[in-house]
Amino acid sequence: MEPGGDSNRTLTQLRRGALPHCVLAVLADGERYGFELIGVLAEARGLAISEGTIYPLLSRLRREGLVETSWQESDSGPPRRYYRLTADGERALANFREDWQGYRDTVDELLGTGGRR
Amino acid sequence: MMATGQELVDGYLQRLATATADLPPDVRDDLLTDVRTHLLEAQERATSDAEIREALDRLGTPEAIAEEARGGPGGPSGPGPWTAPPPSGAGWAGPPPPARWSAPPLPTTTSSAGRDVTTLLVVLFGAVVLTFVLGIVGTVVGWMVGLGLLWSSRTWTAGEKALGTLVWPGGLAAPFYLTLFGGQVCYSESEVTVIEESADGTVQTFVEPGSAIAEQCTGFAMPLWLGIPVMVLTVVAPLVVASLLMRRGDRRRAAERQA
Repeated sequence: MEPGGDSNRTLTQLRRGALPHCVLAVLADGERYGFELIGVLAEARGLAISEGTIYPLLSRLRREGLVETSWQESDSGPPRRYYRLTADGERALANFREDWQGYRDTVDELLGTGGRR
Repeated sequence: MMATGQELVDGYLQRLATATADLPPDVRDDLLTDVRTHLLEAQERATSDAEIREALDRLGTPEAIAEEARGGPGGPSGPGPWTAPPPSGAGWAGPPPPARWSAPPLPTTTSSAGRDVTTLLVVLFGAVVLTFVLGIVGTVVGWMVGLGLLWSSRTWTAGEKALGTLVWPGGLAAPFYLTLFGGQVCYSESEVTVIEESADGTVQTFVEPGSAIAEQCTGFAMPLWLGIPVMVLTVVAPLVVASLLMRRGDRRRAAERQA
């Protein structure tokens, strides 16, 4: 199979695969409400997120028990739904950090993109 | 004329409601609430309609969001991008958004359960009831009134209205008529005229009593194996169609309430 034309698709899939844990990582710094969380993720341009798709993702993370939410009044504007990590979410993030490092090192080594040796 | 920011937001939310109609209700509610809240926040911060337009662009199309909610491109069957440990905590069980905060009103059709029930009852029984009062004229009038209500309703699609119209015209009047007039009237010919030529060439005509050789029937009668299923069908079909329409109506009203 010729993988040449597929590099865009590959990147899309990698982004998709890593995104949930990027969300968990942002929440590890403290709770955020949806609009704010999306702002943080949107600034990380390499993620190339489509903002609206974060909400289905958050909903799934909540159903999986990795994040929890609570509604809070705001001084200005509508009430906000805050998202925060659960203990399970913290564990999942820690596991992924470890897995990711191993995976990244392997891929770097094979691709010769490590720049360490 | 260019749409205002509020109109754009309303239109967007309506598109999202449509695109997510097939999702489980709790998932859908969740998503609609999140996106609505997001847009309220965006509207709060925007200083112009152009900024609202930008916020909508960044969200992506409602269809793409719905697709993601369904499990993303490739569907839920593919290997999930995230595998979570078994959930231990209960899901979110906090209070719903305070009542003070009301969602931007979405244009909705108005269909009421009461009206739908009335419509279906008239379609089913209107013709039968009026038949008792007005005879055959009542059958036609009763059915027409039912159809008028059905077709002027905003609950059902044209296809569903056609279904309600075409399946056993007259609703339950069909089995009613079958019962009333569909009986068989039979009589036997019990006297037979016999013409006999005797050996001497004379012709005698006489009636031989008691020798039933023919039975004749009038009325439209079907053989039993056909009659019973047809009878059942004429009763069941209108009821099935009516309950189908009622369920669709219920579902649509529920969807409108959520949107």
